[in-house]
Amino acid sequence: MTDLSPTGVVVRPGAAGRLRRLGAAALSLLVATAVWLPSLQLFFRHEPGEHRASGALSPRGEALLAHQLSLWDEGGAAQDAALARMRATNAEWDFMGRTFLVLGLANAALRDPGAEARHLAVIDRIVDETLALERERGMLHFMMPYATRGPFVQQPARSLFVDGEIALMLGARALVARRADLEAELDARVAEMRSRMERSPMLSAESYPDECWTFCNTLALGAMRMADALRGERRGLDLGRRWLAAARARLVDPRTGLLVSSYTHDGRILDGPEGSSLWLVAHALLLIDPDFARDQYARARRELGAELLGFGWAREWPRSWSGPEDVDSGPIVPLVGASAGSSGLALLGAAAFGDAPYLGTLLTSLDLAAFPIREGGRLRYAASNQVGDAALLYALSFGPLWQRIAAAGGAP
Amino acid sequence: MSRLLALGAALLVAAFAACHLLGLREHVSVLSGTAPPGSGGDASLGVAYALSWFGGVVLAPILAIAAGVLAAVDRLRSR
Repeated sequence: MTDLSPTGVVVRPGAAGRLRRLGAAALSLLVATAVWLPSLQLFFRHEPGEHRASGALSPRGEALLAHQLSLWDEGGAAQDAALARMRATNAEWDFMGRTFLVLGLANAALRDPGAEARHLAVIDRIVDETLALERERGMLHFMMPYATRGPFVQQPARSLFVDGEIALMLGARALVARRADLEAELDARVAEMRSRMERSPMLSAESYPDECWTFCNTLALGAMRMADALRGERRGLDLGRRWLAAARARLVDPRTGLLVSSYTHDGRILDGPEGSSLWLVAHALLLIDPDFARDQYARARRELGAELLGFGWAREWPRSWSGPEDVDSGPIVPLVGASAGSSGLALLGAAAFGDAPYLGTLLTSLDLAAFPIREGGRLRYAASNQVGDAALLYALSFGPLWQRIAAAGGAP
Repeated sequence: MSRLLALGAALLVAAFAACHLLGLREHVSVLSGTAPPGSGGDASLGVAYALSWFGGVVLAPILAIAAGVLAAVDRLRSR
């Protein structure tokens, strides 16, 4: 006996039964997918109040802080190993991990005066060691190998990447508690950076040979704003406003309205709007022009931010710009375009601009895809590294340092 | 068919459990381009752990729920 299928094809009863079972299985898989995928976020849901404007850190922030402190408190092998593992891929990570940690510790010290002495001791250890390494091995110690591929336009060669972040560490330290020798170093760095930026057609100094980064220039301006706050001046703000005017004229991508990430000394654009730069740039610009900073964040959120089923992530490049997967973007997940580098720094953007819903979805993704490891009261992410964890700590602690600059009368 | 789906779910969970018990979680640092702590690191181990994790938390529950739905439908039909 045979059956006639709806299409008129003759189907044997056994085959028809198998088809029915396959159809039922496919349908049940569809139902299961529709039930499970929207529910998945519930198992990785973040706690409310992960980022607080003031007061104690959230439990996640405290656990991240405890792990970072353990690396520098215990010193020796654990710290060396963590830094060496990053340096094997990118020496910049070693350096930026120090910067993010110092900024996070400064915020933590301002949030909890009882812990100030302990945090300052670690900040001093980091700053002193960083200055010693730079003195002994030169700026190249913290840079990628292509730093030697050609001459810097401005001579003698200096990298704003190194000068700016060292100045940022020095400024953060001084804003928690003053230390005369470090303030002298801060003043010298700020004077050098200002001089180089003023000599450039774009009011921008190079990080690498004939390569300026909005990331580094806005962080340098952030350090100058710290110096403003310490000295009761507005010189950093004045330069920042002029830098921003030049950037708005020549460094804004016309399709997205976002600042590009890198350009030559005379202003030729190299890389377009890049998530791993933009979120941090927007947060630094809060110290120069909060309205413009908020506009950049809103645009970045629209062009780069994404959320689905309770999970959040960020793209490295807007859809209108074709850019590579590189050491800054980290691995990019195909189809959705999620970038580890951009998503990590989007956490800072979301915290700095009070975007709690987006921050929450980013943290949910972090718990799903970054493989948290909790040991005692410490937290680190297995898929990350010291710089990634330190950036997250900075994001969750963000606030008091920037508020202190504003309170010092330097609010733009 | 429902048994096949349930078996698939169990295999995925078992694969993840095996990777976890073998201590491969640390190896996922290769996803950030960083060598795992305490070893030279084999990138494939980190990738295997990540795949087994997503198999265990994304695919396995879907297969398990589908197996349950299918079994329930079969039971209703057989009445």
